[in-house]
Amino acid sequence: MTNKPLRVGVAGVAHVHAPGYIIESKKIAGAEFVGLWDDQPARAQKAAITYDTRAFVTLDELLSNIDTLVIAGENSMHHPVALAAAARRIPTLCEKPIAPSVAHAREMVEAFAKAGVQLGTAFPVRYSPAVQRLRQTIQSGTLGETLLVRATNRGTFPGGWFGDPDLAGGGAIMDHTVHVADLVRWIWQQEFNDVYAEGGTMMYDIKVDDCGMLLFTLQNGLAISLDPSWSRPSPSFPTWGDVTMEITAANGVVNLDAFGPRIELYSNRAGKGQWVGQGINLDQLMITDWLDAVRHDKPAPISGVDGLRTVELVEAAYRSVKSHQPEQVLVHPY
Amino acid sequence: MRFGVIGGGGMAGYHALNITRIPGSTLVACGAPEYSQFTRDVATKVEAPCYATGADVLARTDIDAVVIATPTDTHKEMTLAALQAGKHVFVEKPIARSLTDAAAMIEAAARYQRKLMPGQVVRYFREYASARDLVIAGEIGTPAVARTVRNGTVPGGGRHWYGDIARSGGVALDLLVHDYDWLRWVFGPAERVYAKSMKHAGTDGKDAMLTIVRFANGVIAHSEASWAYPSGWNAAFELAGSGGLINHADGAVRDITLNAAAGSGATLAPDSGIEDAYLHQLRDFATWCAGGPAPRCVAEDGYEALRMSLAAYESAQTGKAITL
Repeated sequence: MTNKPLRVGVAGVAHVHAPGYIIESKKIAGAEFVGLWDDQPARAQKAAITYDTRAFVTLDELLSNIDTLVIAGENSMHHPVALAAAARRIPTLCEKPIAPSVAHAREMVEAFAKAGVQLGTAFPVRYSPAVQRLRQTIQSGTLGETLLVRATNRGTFPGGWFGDPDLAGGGAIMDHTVHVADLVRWIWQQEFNDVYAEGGTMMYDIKVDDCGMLLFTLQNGLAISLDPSWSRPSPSFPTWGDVTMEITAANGVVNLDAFGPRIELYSNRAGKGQWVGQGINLDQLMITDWLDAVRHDKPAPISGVDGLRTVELVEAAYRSVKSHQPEQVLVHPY
Repeated sequence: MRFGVIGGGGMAGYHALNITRIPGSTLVACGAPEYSQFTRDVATKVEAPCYATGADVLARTDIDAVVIATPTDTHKEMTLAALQAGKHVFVEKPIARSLTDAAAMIEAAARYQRKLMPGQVVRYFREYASARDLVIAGEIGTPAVARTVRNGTVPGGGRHWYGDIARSGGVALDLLVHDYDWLRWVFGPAERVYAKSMKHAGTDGKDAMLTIVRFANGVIAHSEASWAYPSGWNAAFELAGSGGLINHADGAVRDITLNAAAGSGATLAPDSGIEDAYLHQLRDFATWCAGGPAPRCVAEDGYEALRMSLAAYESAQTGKAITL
């Protein structure tokens, strides 16, 4: 145990969540934000200026200057960057989805297991106070058996590489299935059984799905539907999207809005109505927890295997979109 | 138009009242083994007899049309008898318990040259009809994702016929049939249905389903229905497309509400009838029977909505997606 500050770096700034991770890492006591790297130098330079930090020219150079890495680039770059970090035994927190394929996600999990350091998945919604209360409520047993769950993780189309099949590996289903999938596993402590999914490209001129619908079951038979569509119109919709659930249980029905309660803001500056959150910064809570685990050599709060499980669901969902029938989720033993 | 009402429950009473509110229409008689006080009061006010059976109503040769608001599994028998007796028929939704029954009813209406209209009232709810107008006007661009909600408690606490899925068809036939019919009206024919039921569906009449419907035009719909709420009611819809989004939650935005002090006797004045969907659909039916234009929903629409509902139920039972 040392009192030296943990040196943190970010690889890849292409993800919409990257700014939040950089800003929060810079604020956390006991951490030192060392800098960032991106495979597009111009993008790295721009981010370095914006966030007043250093842009490293090579990934290798970044990795040799840090104690822990946060990956926040395109989905396709998670795998090669993570393997490079594992080779240097650097604990790594990876943006979701951990990889666009089960094969890549498994290689990442195995590389970090072999290296003996933590691989984490960025699922900040676990830190929502409402979600934590839901989990405690379910696990307390007062609601009785859970009978049915309806969930949404709808959003606006983020644009750019999110619509590129080579960089994103999929569309709305790839982007917005994994958050709720992780919450469900975490809350009900069950693995996935099967999934039916519809998907389509109906709204944008892109080569990935922009809308979809999943109806999956857990191994205890509980059925859960999830809407991952990029169906919030931009710019007119008052916020980026949502995470909601309605849980029907033997003793009652629970409704959850992970980002509620909301304030409605009507400002002519934005030219539209806006829904504003209640000021709880989930990125900050997640990164603080991650750095604490790295500092004290504890298991990742949300592991690479947690990330892999949700990718297993995504892959089965895409099989179902093609087969028009429910598909088994293949849960690889780890 | 001279009307009879067959059935004595909540919907029968409301239809009876609405008949008395349609200019040129008369409530002539009611027929049911038992009556709610409401139905009896409506009938008494216009001096319409309350017979012990529907057959008594059908025997009256001075009745042109009947409203059938009996349990779902009796719709076919009652409708066939009414058509045979030369009456036009307005039948509550779902049109029948099975497709075979519904087909027989449609066939009989053609044979006896009488009108047959199912009570798919959601087409007459102003917010649902307005949303359709907005979609047609292009306000949301190319439609992509639709969501509907129809969740509440089990009618009668699960003790009467609704809670018997063999008779009512559960939430698939009683609730989803509303939204399926409306979605078809907005988006056209459906292609595929997949559904899951809640665990232990049917216990104490409780039932809930999550369903996905793929429409031929590509729209993906999520429709849910529940009789598993401990209390309360939630109906809502959302239509999202390439250029916009329409959102409506029943109860969230009403035009007039009252929070009355307990025991004060304060009540809102009754609505003018302009906005009442049930009155509107029955008025359209009366106009149709009198030789006017067809209403928004005809028997074939009721048949298609039932087909989708039965497919949802079959999917939940078999674990397979059902291609229509």
